[in-house]
Amino acid sequence: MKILVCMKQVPQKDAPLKLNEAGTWIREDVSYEVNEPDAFALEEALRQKEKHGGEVVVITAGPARAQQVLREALAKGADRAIHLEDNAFVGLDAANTARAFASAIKEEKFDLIFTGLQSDDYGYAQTGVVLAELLGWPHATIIMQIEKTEAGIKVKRELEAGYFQFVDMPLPAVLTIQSGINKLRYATLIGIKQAKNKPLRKVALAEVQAAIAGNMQKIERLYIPQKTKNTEFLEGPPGEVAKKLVEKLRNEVRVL
Amino acid sequence: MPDSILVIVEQREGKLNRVSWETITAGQALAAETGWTLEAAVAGNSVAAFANEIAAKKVAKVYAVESPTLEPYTPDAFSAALKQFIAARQPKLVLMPHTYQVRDFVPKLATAMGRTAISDCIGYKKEGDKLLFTRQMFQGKLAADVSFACDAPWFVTFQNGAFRGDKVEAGASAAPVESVKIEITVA
Repeated sequence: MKILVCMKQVPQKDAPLKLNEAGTWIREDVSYEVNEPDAFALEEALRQKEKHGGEVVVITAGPARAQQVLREALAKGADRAIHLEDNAFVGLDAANTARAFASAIKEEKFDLIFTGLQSDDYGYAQTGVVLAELLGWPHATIIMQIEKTEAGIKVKRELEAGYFQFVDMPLPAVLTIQSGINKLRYATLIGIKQAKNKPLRKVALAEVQAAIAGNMQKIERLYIPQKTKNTEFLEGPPGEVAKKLVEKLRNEVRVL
Repeated sequence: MPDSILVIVEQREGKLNRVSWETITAGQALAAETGWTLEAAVAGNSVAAFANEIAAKKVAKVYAVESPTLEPYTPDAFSAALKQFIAARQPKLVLMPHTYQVRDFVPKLATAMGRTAISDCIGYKKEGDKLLFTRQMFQGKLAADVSFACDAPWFVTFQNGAFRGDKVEAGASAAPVESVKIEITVA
């Protein structure tokens, strides 16, 4: 099984975020890490390779610093990496990122493409699904389990309210992987050493420029959400107050 | 055609998903502010009953978009059917609740139509003629107001709880319901 894992580098979870001057993005002077959902996608790919043989390739689009994500993936057991390297990739929306990926991999023949469920910065959960449409491949999202079958794969999808759905799919296909599907491994010392010699192909923006267009959506402003504190007194006889309270808990606070 | 907002509600396993009322509330608010016509649609195999349920609310028209290929749900069939329907109706804005099912097909549908979806929004703002949709970013640490930089149709999905389903306005009389039969070839 030849599997591509799309990965992203995002600000560290507990990093203090500062807005840039224009108020349209964050300042880059922050610590970065791998997007955790993508780490789960990588782990799943590595497990599938261990079970069925094949190759795991990782790809990312980002500045030079994003290479760290690829190095870590190679150290964990991925076979080779592709780095679409340019600062400009940071500002691309999901659709353009998917187009850039599709362009970079057009000579390859993958059986499966995994992405994490969503990114911890944008949180759109779209890149994988857009990529599937661009490639003309079937896709399934929020995947909890993957089994190989005669005709392709059988996947378990998570639905709302604790329900699951099983889907039979042919290959090739795109899957977005649910976090917590597995337990993440650590890179071993040998893995880290071997990673240095594994192929890492750099792709310049110019190589995929023809595939991407202007973003179809624009972040007009980014800001710190205002937290409001509000104390409301519920008046009336206990029966009525209880009724009002239930109404508020159900419709406003939405815990019922 | 006058500018319209199309709310596509969700039905699953014989029931209208409750969050659909929230999306209609959002549509009613946007229609009031923009002056655009509000219409609703429900897609599936046999959805006349759901369409009638929605027609009781204050919407100009309800479409029952039907095809046997829409049951059970697959992203391929939903994307193909809705693409056909939306291309014919040409709404300016398409609203959906941000459910597991919608997340599964909306990016595919938007891409198939050469458009984009601003997803998981918690609200909207109207600044002059411009519509901005608010989303949480960085796991809620920051908020972003996002606008469309492309032609309509504009796809927007709203987060569960962003609008009050219980505040949806009822219609003075039942809205007309139109049955739309979709033919799609599924490989």
